[in-house]
Amino acid sequence: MARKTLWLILAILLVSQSSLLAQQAPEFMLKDVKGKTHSLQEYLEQGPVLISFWATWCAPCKKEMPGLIEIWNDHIEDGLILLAIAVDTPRTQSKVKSYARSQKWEMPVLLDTSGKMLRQYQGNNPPMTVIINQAGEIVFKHSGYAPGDEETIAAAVAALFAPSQPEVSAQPEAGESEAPSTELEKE
Amino acid sequence: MRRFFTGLLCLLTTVSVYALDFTGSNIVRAAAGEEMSDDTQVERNYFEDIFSFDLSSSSFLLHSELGFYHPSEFPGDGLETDRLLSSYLEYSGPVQVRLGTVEATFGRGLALSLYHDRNLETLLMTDPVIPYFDNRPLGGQLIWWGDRVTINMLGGWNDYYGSLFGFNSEYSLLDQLQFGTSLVYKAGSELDNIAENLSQTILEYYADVALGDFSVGLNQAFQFVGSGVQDDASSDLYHITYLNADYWWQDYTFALEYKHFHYYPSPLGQPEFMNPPITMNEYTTHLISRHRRLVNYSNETGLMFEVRRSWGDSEYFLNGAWASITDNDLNGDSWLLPNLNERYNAYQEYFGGATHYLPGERSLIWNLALAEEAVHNGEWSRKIGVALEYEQPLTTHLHAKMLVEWMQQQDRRLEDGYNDWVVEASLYRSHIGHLTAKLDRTEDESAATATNLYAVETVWELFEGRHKLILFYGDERGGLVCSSGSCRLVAPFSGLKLTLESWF
Repeated sequence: MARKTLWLILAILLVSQSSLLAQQAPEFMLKDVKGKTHSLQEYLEQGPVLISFWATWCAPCKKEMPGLIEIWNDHIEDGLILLAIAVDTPRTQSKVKSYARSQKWEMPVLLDTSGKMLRQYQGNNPPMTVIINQAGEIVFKHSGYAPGDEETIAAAVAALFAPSQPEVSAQPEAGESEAPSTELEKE
Repeated sequence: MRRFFTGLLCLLTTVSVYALDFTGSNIVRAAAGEEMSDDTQVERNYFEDIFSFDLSSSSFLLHSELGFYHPSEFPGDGLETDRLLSSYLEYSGPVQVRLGTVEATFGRGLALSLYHDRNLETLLMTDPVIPYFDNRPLGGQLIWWGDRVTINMLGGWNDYYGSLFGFNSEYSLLDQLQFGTSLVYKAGSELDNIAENLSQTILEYYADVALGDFSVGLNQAFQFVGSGVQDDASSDLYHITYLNADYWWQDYTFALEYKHFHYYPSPLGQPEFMNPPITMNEYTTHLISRHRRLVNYSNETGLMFEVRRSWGDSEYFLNGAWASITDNDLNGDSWLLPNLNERYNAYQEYFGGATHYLPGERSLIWNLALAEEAVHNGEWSRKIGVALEYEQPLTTHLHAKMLVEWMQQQDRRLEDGYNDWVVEASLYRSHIGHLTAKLDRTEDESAATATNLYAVETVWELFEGRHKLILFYGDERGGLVCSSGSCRLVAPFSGLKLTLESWF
């Protein structure tokens, strides 16, 4: 019985791919490493938000972050906000501040010590990258990191500031030198 | 099945009529193979699933998480579960109110830290399972955020705890000074029938001060434990202290952490609803983390020191940790700092390494580790490890990665130690996935598994990253496996594993 239900759920998941509706980004109230509470709305008032869920024990997260910072720097004058949300539990929470400082990170570093926000954004493990447009809609979400992912993220961010936002397009094809395409989850 | 369709129909109707946001995720795990259990090879097949979804409007959120778990190796012993793992309705406005499954972390987790799978580390010897040992209580929660004050209150119940109540308040007196207090009370549990009606009251305070490039935090909790049995009016007091300090100077960051654990010695081996910092490095390498020390929460004191430096395109770090028991029951001695006499379960480790970002998107990571632990009537075991990882782009989207780890494990009782090796070669294709081939070699003649183990793992991102398929085929050595910041002991496995993660 349980297995039948499972496969049914899987089938629904597969079928649902072409009918995704716009998803509103879950609001959050998270503390930064200095103990000050911040909300998503507070950042959205300044511009679109690029979120990286990371952790001090997560090696791929650390590899991905320089690329995200580069994307942020490219669009900082457009109002893009980069948030580094650490999902370290209290076991490793105290390392977050010193690690961020050692990397000379200038973006806000928030703490999600219970992992609640990561789960609410439907993530299981870091790294997970989320792009939220200024209307508060999730326009890009990606779990995991492989070298080269930065280009797709950069394209998705660039689409936010393009005169007219393009429709969802496929990820890069087999050719290695083509221009990166956008991967918007929905419009 | 009819009930499921009815529920699904109601869900879809509700989403359509009220224009609610609907998000969800699903994880399927399945395996077919054999597992080593008590030096015996046993069949190991499982199929499990976690399905979770959120329905939300501007102010309300309904979250549900459904689990299906039927472990083949434990037929009929009560571990099967087809049920809601968690479910809550949450209102967010001037205050946040939740009804249903509650979860929270107070301060650094000395007094309260409720997680889905926190107890995996010491309880589960199987891999992987939906944590049947779900410790999140059912109840209500209220959180209020003021300009400088945060209040968090919760109350709940489950079979494991009995009743659990918590109150936490945090004050931001100045930008440089944060202060918090917590009160937690638990009563009426049936803990393995050992401590029936055990009651616990925990009082906690903590403070964080930041002065320029220096910051320090102090957390202290006092745990009052009563038997709750009428004839036994005894009550014991336990205490827990955690301190951390950071200092930045030019390109260097220095961090110091201190722990002094004296929790009630729970039959479960670690605190029931707390998750304090362990002041040990969280390794990212295979071999060292496989043999990591398990913390003694009821009697341990320790220090950890870390220095980091960014220099050009390179990052360096050095980490040292020391620990021992806090009290010696035999002669009544106790220490505030770790006593590295080998009679006191002493432990020390040194971990250093660097990440070099090289021209052409290449990178090199190296780590060195030395760990010593007093075991077996005061004798020491020693581990020395080296890990090297090199990454090289082959084309714009195709990268190759090579990982080599070596560790020597030595016990003073043995004349010779033995060597372990892990060699991995991976190919990464951005937004498609990766393929990894792995060799795991041990020279340990007492190992339950073969000398050389081979495995292949492939990860595929499907439907523009909305599904992730992970296939593993081969042999796993087993041991302590750390993931998402929590660790668990897993048994050696041989066969096929499948994981499918989906987001929608």
